[in-house]
Amino acid sequence: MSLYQVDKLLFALFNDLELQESYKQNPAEVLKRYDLQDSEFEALRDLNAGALYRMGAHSFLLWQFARMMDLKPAVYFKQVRGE
Amino acid sequence: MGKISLGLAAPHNPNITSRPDKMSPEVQGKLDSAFGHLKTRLSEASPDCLLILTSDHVTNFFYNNAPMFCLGISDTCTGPAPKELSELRIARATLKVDTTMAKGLLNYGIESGIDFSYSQEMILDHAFMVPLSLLTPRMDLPIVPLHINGMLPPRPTAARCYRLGQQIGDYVRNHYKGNVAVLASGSFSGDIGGPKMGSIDTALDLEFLDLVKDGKGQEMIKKATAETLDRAGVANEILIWITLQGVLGDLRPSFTDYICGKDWSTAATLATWQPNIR
Repeated sequence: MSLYQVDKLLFALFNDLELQESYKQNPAEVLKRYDLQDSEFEALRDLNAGALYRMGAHSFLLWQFARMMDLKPAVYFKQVRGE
Repeated sequence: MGKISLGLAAPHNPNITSRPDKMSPEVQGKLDSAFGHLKTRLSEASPDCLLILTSDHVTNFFYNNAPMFCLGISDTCTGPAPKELSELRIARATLKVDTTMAKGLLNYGIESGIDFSYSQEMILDHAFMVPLSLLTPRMDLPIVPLHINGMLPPRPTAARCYRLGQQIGDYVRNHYKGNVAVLASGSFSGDIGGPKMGSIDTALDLEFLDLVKDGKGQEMIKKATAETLDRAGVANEILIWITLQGVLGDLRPSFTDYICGKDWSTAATLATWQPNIR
């Protein structure tokens, strides 16, 4: 059930410009509002798109998260493809 | 009674408006020409209402409440979403909704077996606004927005979408007084954010386009298995085209174009159908 919380955060970040700014300033402060497992918290904190994708995060929302966080597309796709 | 005067299908890849510089002049020229063709047909048809079929891109709906089919029934709808304004290069606009049609279709659905969801607050994200900005740049044509879930699995089946289209056609012909154009906004394959993003599945796209050209709705349904839809990627926009095919009753298109935009991750497929010109 907890993966829902990852997608819920990604959905909120995708749609809420103020939350985006808060997250960029202090991700841990936003992350603690969600009921995340340790592995999910760490993957989000570390911007580990590969781990989040393999956990089952929604790929469209994950891509929007990567763009918001300025993760380079080449890095994102390398991670998602497990290369 | 009412009539469907025109079918249109067009892509909504945000790069079309946000990053035209990413396209080669050749691709941009082809896209301008194809959109120009659709715009002319729409102007000639002069409909009272444009019914827009597309999938919300996780703007209005999420796993907390995810409808399969949702009609926007408020007096007006506004788009693009605030999050899109900095990139999309489309000015925020408020469009009139044809509430006679939106609410009429909602009630007809309830009586005839489609339990539509409905919204008084549907935001028009890029899936609506990109083709609208190119087809009706003055944003003065009343619309009815209809969300068909493609992005939040499980999605509806192809057979259900086709039947939905048939029921929309029945409603317009038997209960609506006016002339309706229907726009399917979406392409075929496109794995946005997934591992296949960037490689266009031309083989799949062209197989579907051949079925579209022949007006083979039942063949489209057979082909759009869960496996094929998974192969097509996250947005499942094939379902939107199949819904339109249901509306049009397997009519063959009067125009199609397939433009392969390697630099912007999906191909653009455009089409028109003219029911009154056989």
